[in-house]
Amino acid sequence: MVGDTLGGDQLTLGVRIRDDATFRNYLGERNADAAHKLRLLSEDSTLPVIVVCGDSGTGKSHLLQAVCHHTEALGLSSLCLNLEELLPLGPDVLQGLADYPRVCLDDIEAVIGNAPWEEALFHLFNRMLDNGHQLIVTASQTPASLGLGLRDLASRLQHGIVIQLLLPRDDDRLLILGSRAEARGLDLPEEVGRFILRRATRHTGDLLDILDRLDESSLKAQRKLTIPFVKSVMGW
Amino acid sequence: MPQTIWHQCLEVLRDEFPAQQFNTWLRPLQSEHQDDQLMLFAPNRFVMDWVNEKYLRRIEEVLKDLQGGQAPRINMRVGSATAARDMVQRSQTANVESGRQDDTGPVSEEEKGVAATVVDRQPRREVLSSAAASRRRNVQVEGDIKHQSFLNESFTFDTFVEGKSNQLARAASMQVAENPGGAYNPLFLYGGVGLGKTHLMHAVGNEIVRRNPRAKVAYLRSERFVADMVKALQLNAINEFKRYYRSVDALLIDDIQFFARKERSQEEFFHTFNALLEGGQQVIVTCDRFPKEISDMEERLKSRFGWGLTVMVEPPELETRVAILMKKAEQTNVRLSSEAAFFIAQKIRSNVRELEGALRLVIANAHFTGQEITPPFIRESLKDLLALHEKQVSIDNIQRTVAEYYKIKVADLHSKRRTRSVTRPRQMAMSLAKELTNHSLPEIGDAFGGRDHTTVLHACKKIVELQGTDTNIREDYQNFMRLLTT
Repeated sequence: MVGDTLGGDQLTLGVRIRDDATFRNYLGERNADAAHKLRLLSEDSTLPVIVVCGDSGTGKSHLLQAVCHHTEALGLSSLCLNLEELLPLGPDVLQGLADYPRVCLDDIEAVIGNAPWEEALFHLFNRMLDNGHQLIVTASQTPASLGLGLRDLASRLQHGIVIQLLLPRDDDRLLILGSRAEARGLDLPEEVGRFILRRATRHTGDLLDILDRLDESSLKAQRKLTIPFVKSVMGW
Repeated sequence: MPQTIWHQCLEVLRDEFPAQQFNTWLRPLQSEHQDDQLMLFAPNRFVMDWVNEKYLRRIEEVLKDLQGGQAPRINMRVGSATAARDMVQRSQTANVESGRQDDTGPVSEEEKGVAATVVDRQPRREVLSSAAASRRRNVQVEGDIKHQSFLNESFTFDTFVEGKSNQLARAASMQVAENPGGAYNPLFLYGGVGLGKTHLMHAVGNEIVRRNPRAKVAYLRSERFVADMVKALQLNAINEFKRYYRSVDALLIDDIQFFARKERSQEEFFHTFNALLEGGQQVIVTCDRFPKEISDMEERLKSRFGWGLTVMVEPPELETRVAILMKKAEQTNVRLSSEAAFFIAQKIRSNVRELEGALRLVIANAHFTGQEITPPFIRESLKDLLALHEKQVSIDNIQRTVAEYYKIKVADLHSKRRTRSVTRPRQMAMSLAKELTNHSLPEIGDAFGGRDHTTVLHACKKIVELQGTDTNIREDYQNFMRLLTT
């Protein structure tokens, strides 16, 4: 079962380093203030809802998981769910979640225009409000621009605080790559990192996928990460 | 078996599964050790089913390894460990199996969904006890009727800001509070979202209780009424349910529009409604629209909503919005100048909830930065809220904007021409594309007439350099950032 989950093209040694997403390893100057604000606001139980918005690759999912780790560290239970993943299960999956002091829902766009889901989210919000609990959601747009069909839900999301994440700059991307490489025990010289940034798509997730690929190839070939090696693996 | 065995198991599973899966399905499980079994509690039946199907076998294997080959018996349930502990105590006193009368009319799919948490695989006694422990509103289905008002004490007439838009609704509400069950029964408050209907409703309830501390006032959202009813039906306790709701002096139901398509709930509410009116007890209902406009609602119910007084709450006008902001700031001990309040009120026009959200954001930012709340500070703080945020823009859009700004053609940006009048805008556009998009440098080069990525790099460096020495370029760059991101 575990093998199935991790996918087929993996190393013979079935160990994969865990990528716990915390505030500590949410890197980059551009969104540092936003992350700091989210950490503090997630401790404020009088705040019913926080909307973290930003384009793909800005680290929204990372921050949601970071909130959960942080909440657990404070001795409260929390839950982090991806709505796109839950979609096939139907909106009843949200039942009972309001008992958690913090519920983080990633990718609210996945349910926009889906009336039963929007209504279920609305009821979840109300129950969390009644319980004095906090709901944190991510979206690519601000609540007013999301196009939610249920105005009651849109209005409730607007009642909270919106935290905007910006696209990382190249220096931030380099930092993220370097940190991930270090966590993998991989030596990524700066010039190689900059080379990757010059050639690859600069979407953070894609960059990390490239690093995974380079990591595996480097291990298999027993080669260090050099520009020629990266060129040969990536076909650049 | 110490409880830490589950935590040890989680540590192993955490290494085996991707973080997303682990955090979604495994981490939320709570454990409780009872006798020789390990009880695992899932927040709802979907999580339980999913874990059963996808992870249970692996959990059993890991536990077996950790226990030296002797796997504990795993019992998956819906609920929480805390509730389970309470359940043991309560199950001795709960007498739910006997004397219940049934009234099991058809329940729609929507209604079943509302009470999905009680539909699990536990014996009925345990279901009720578990639900009783985890829900505050259990009283009406247990036979021991205790009135819980669920009124928010901070929503009073004193904290309600009156303006032209809500004057009539406030006056009517005050009349009802002074004379519940009188001429204005039911009171039907309707209007758009976030305009203060719920506040007024609570204000009436609080005022009734203030005047008569023995008054039984129940506030609830329509969804809660449905959930309670479905739960009562499942537990054969519908008569308790009816008795509870018909015994209150004032029943306040919020957002009645969510009764749509829930036929059984409408039926039950219809009878409750009639009983209350006949008994001279007050009913207050809020809705997002006029009674006749509610879709998927029985005509007889809509018609009865109009028997008393129907009042609309309208969006607040500017003066009221300013007053609301000043009041909210005062309640949170924040100094807000009337100039600043006026500025926010001008920007946020739709509803009070959004207005409060805006103020909350401004206050939070002021708190974090230590800055004074001034109009420029507010403008910056509300940038996100007003959707004036940085959007992912396309290279095409950048090229069009730059070409238009410098009064050249987009084709010039793609061309081989190297005159200053074309190269500078091209460099500017390339630099903006790097800053505002996720495209790779080769892709950006391609989009500018098939140029090399080194040309893009050079362009970006050049624009950074020029911003330090040439005020025009610096100004142009700032203008583009504003044009493209708002």
